[in-house]
Amino acid sequence: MSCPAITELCAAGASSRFEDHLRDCVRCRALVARSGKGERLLDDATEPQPTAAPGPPPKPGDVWTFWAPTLDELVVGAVIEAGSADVLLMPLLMQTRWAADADIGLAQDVLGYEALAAVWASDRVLVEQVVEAVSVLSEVHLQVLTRGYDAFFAGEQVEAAAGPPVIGDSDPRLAAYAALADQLRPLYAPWSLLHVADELGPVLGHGRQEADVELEAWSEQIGTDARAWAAFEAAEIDPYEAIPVKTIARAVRCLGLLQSRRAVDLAHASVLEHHVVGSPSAPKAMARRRKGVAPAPRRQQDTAREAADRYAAALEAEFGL
Amino acid sequence: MTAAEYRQARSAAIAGCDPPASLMEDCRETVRLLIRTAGLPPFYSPVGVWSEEACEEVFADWVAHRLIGRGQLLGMLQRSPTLQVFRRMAETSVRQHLIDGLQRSQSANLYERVERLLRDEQRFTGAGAGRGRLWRLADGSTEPFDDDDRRLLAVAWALGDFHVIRYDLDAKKLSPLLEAEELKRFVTGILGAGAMTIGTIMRALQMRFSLDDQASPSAFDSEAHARTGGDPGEAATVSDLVTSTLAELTERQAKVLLGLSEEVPVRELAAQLGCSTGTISHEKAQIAEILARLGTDAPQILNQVLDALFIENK
Repeated sequence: MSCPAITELCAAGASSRFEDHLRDCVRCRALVARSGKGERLLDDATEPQPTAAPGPPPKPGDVWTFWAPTLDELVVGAVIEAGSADVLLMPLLMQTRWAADADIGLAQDVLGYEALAAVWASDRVLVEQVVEAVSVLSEVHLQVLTRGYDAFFAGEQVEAAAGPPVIGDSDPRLAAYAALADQLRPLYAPWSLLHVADELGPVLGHGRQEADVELEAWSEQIGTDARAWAAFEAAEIDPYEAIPVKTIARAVRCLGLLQSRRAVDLAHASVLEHHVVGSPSAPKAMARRRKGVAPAPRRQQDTAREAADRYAAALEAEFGL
Repeated sequence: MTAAEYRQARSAAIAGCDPPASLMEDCRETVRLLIRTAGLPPFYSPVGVWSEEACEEVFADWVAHRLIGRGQLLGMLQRSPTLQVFRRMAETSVRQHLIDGLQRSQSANLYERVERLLRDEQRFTGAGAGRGRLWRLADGSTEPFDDDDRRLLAVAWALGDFHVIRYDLDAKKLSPLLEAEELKRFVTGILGAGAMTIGTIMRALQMRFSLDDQASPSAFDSEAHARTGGDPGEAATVSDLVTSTLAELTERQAKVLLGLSEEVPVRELAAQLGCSTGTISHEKAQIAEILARLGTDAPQILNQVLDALFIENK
């Protein structure tokens, strides 16, 4: 999280209010140490995590705000594509100083203030990260942004670029872009962490390894059998038979992943892929498949789909989606 | 203003209503408290010192030009889900507004300095007369630069970072926008693209540093800036400058500053801070801009800023 406002940092009671931040931030500690008590009154209300406003979901051409777990500021972005689980957004920045040929300028009459559409910084976020619609682009502007996006990612020149191209390594805009990319990384992380694989087990396995947690400690933490979990992470087991939905939800939360439609879809895919009808137990089926000595029993697609749907619905309810 | 009042004001403003008076009052309070807590150095003031009148003038100008005129209040509200975030953005916005004003007020004598530089330095030579006189590098191409503004700006950006605006605690007149060596580097670099008139060079400066065209320097109270050595109030002023410099740094910039002073290699520093080496370069440039505004006092202020950070970093 970013530093608090100076006028709040120097307010009476700020030390306890910003205790967590002050523990980590040397700059704010130095400021507090130098400042007398300010006059601003701090509101003690704890702010809830942003949630999606009621109403229709985002569609191309909408301008929405987006949140991420580790960002306290919202990001304003134009929706370029919208799906049931994710949204392709193009960030709209108030800072126009570093405009180059992979940005498109939006005049003040478009959003109410001059903005820069950072074409190069476009990426996907989960639908759970959308907060509220703040504006709608005209068809012409949507077309300009979409064409800009297609051109940039095809390696072509962006029409109507806001600034001149970068023609030398010492151009400070290169470093400014690096800083902006770092700033936006937390926004895109929830989506990318859930897209390292096409099934939930490997995705959670990747998350566990990133968090550097040993399998034994992990299985104890979430209350499951280590062997079954290892098989789940290796995409060798049907979670419908081996991993309770509550355990999955706990794992997602413990790893700091977003409880999202995408996670539900991944769980659905896991069950659909590995659900074996008529097998006495999932681990045996798994062993046969691994060794390749006997073909997997013929799966009845409808039954597998029903199981996947049930499992996904239970997980969705567990997430409160 | 309470958090609940802020949420209400934000929703109304995003829906297209006028910002409520309570929100504007909170903005006024931000400016006033920012000054009282030494969050803004005195030379950011339009009259060189902070007084009630200066505070009111800054608030009115900021609201009229930036928040309402350029619509940035709406942009800030959209990005600030909470009052806490909004106040931080308001502080950054008013500070940037003052820095931009400072930059504009110091650009007026630039034409004269560029002309003198071209005339006095042997590395430059000119052909023609009057405003159409084409200047070039003595050992450079005679081909005139005939590309558009876009190309001109690209060449200007390619010259890298420049330290703009210097301020001297004891200055009694406007300090230059670019120090002599930096201006020479810029003019030499831009003429590397071809022969050009002073008008074209000025155009490159204006675009690269976002300077407004100004016919004459803005009003500036030189007496307000005039200070003498041994002034008993000087220690307090320096202390306030240390605080305002700390306030201007971000958390990451403070860490970069500490890392650089301890000679931590850039790659290692980037790994420690969880960012790219490009970001470290960007933060270094931003720190240099902040320090450049302090002019000849920068080393003294920087030392005290580092002391304050080291004490808290133990």
